[in-house]
Amino acid sequence: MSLQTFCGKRLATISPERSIAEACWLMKEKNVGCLIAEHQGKLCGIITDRDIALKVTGEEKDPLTTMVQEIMTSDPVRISVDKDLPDLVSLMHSRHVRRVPIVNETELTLGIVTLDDLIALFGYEMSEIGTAISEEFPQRKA
Amino acid sequence: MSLQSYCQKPVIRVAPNTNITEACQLMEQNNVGCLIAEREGRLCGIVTDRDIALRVAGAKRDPDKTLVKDIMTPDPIRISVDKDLRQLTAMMHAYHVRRVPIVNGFDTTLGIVTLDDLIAQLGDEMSEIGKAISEEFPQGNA
Repeated sequence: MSLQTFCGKRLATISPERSIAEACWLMKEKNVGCLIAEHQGKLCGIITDRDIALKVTGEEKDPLTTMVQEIMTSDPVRISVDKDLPDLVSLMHSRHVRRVPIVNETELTLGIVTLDDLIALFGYEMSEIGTAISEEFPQRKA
Repeated sequence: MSLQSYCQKPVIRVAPNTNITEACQLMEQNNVGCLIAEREGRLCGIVTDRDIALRVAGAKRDPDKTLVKDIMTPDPIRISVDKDLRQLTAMMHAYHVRRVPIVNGFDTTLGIVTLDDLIAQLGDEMSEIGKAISEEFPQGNA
């Protein structure tokens, strides 16, 4: 399965020079837990709601004057859209991340894939497999 | 299977009158994403890192003057420790929650179970089933 499947949906991007207050507004508006920071069309960071809670509110920084680039994780783990699902899973495992931006060859972010997306996909596949098995051996339904 | 097995990890409790700065410190020190608010030993609310990002930083509130009770989800969905796994997953599905406090008959929180806990357990079980099948039909390994 190509990673193209995970591109295009629920991607929210922000400039690293925007304020945390704006980032919060965007997270709420788009109903997402993380934003991709892009500088001149290239992925440069990622920021989550937890980053904001702990590094802004927890450290008593002003969300109006603190910028995304001060809080974000710079140069985050990413994956090329040409890679496949096993590459993605091993990357998540080895780097202990649950969200991975998907980029093209110019480092433009095409999408973001989360552990939740993979679990949902896997759950769907397992359910399909379960149905196939039940139909193959209908007597087991009893 | 009772829910007792999900009550092993410590619950991080907070008084509803605690300010958000302190709540953030608790989340950071204990490496958790949510705190259980209890009043007189009874569950009365739940607050997550996302609540803090959106309802404090995003709403431009002062974390020193904002209290947990001002932003927590009051009377959250909970489950009795006597219930079983099936009831828990049905509840998570019906209410769209991914964290559920487990309580006793006095509404005291004994633990908190997350979707991640369930997924990790399911993953272990699937892995065991996979090994059992491979060993049953060793030629399938080729």
